[in-house]
Amino acid sequence: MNRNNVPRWLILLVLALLWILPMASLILFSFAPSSEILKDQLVPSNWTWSNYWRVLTDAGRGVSIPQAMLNSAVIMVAQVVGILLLDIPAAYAFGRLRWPGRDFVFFLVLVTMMMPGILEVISLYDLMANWGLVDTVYAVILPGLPRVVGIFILRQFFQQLPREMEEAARMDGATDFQVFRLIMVPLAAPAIITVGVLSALYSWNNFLWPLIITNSPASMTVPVAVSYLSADTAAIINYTVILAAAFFTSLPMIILFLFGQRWIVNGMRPTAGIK
Amino acid sequence: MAGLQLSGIHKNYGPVEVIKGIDLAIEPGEFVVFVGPSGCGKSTLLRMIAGLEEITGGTLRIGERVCNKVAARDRGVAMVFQSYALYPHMTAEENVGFGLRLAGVPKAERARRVREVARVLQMEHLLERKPGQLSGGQRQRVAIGRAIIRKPDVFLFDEPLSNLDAALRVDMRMELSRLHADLGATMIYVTHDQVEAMTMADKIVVLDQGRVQQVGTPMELYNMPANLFVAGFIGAPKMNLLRVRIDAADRAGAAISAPFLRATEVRTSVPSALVGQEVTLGIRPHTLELRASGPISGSIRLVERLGDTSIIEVATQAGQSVFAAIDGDIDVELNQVVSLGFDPAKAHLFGPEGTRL
Repeated sequence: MNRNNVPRWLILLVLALLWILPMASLILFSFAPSSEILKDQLVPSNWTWSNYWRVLTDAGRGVSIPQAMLNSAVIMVAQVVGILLLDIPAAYAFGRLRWPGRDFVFFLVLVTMMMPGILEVISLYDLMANWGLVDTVYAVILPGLPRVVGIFILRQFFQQLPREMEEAARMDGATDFQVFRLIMVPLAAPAIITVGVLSALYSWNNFLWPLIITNSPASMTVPVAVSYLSADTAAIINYTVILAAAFFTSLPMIILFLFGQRWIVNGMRPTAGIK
Repeated sequence: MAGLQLSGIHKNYGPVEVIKGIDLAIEPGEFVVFVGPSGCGKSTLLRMIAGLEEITGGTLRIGERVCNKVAARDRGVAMVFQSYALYPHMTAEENVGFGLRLAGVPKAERARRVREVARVLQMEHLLERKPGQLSGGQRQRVAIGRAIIRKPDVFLFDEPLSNLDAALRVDMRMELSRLHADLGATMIYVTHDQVEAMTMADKIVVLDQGRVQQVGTPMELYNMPANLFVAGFIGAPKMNLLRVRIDAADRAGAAISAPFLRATEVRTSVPSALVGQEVTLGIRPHTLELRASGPISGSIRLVERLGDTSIIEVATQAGQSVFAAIDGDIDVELNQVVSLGFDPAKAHLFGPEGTRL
């Protein structure tokens, strides 16, 4: 290690500790009896698996964490598939096709990204209520489609793909749709995976809208279910069970991110994979 | 195999006219090279033939069919791009067979034809590799394979050798010529390299500023350049273009002189109206030879030894530089005073408008 780098490494170490301590504390105390959490200590002195057993069987307040995870998984898969099905053609149309008003329409699409999501909540709720979808997974899925940031990332990527690749395909006999499906989409795979992973993270962690649109414990998503456990005013709150639930429900996303981080970095880089 | 007929072809990008009315006939089976400096419109013309650029005006016929509005995939042409444009997510085999796959050719037949093309291009061992695992020359072969597998009527090449190193370029040049001889197909080849044009073409089309300057065989262009542009562009080293005065003229020839040139004669028929006027004398460096007493004298300012030939720059007392290509065995030194002469039948004269006299 270069001696000049020592201050830099120290700063990074402090920042890493600051970030990792709450996470480490969450994980450690999720394995402790509930009485341990109120003691003035960094590491619990007693250990137990019972919190995780309760997460899997009876977390409290009628909430089923496995059911919430299933709900979140269904919503996540539906949203990722839906977002990709809508974002990819939209991004291609904005990035590679020429049509009147294209840039203006893209500007309007971008404007929706600038607006705080909270502004749409009342009208969206009203819409879902009119369609009879309140407290269903459909009401959670539909407003998340498409994702403008996904269109933006994919458009930038499509724009950077070499024009000659498309022309070569045309010379080979490809129709417009074949150029899109057989050449452009496979070439954009790094960006598509990036958008998929980001959309999955967004969907799994989305809190506000599922909180508003779902009521019954059976239709709750993971973040809503965990927060529901901590909002019990009638009983003593079992914090270590909540910590276990928080850690347990984060595991799928931690694993997804570990596998997907390479793609996220690569996918942001235009012409990734093109030599 | 099909011929092409270009009649009054124009191309405009908004108000900018880049192709200014091109008339050209290409016979079936010909190897035609479009050559010219950067920005002369040669690639645009090729892309218009390919169907990748719209034709603003004029008529393009491929075979007997007017193709102005025909989609690229329906023109019966295949193209090799400068960057090769191989699909990076497909293997060489999939790249070569992509056109057949789109045409709905069954998998077994496709594989057989890909193997056949790979054998012709000696790239059977490369078929499983992706473009990222291939060298420049290997990618070039795959790109050519992709073009020939569809057995098109016309092959188009857009500066396909410009990304290769010098040695590989020479090899590929010969391979392309061999391929043309084997396939007998019509080929149109774009380059800015006049050596490629001279070595490969049956017919060269010299373009400048969106206009055809001359069409002819390589030797016609070399021996009878139609104007100053072609004279300066074709041939390496470049033709010496020197301002001279016509002292006398008749049908048999003309007497010319210049401050750097002792009065001499050339065998070019010059209109008597030009007597007393300045014209341009063109002499190829290879036409000039060292003589005991030639019409051009001066001292050697530069010697470039190429082995069998040496290029010398001779600076005359009048300040004019003249380049000569002399036998490499002749020993010459810097600042040596020499005298140059030339065969009057091999000198070219260009009138005040720049056209050949």
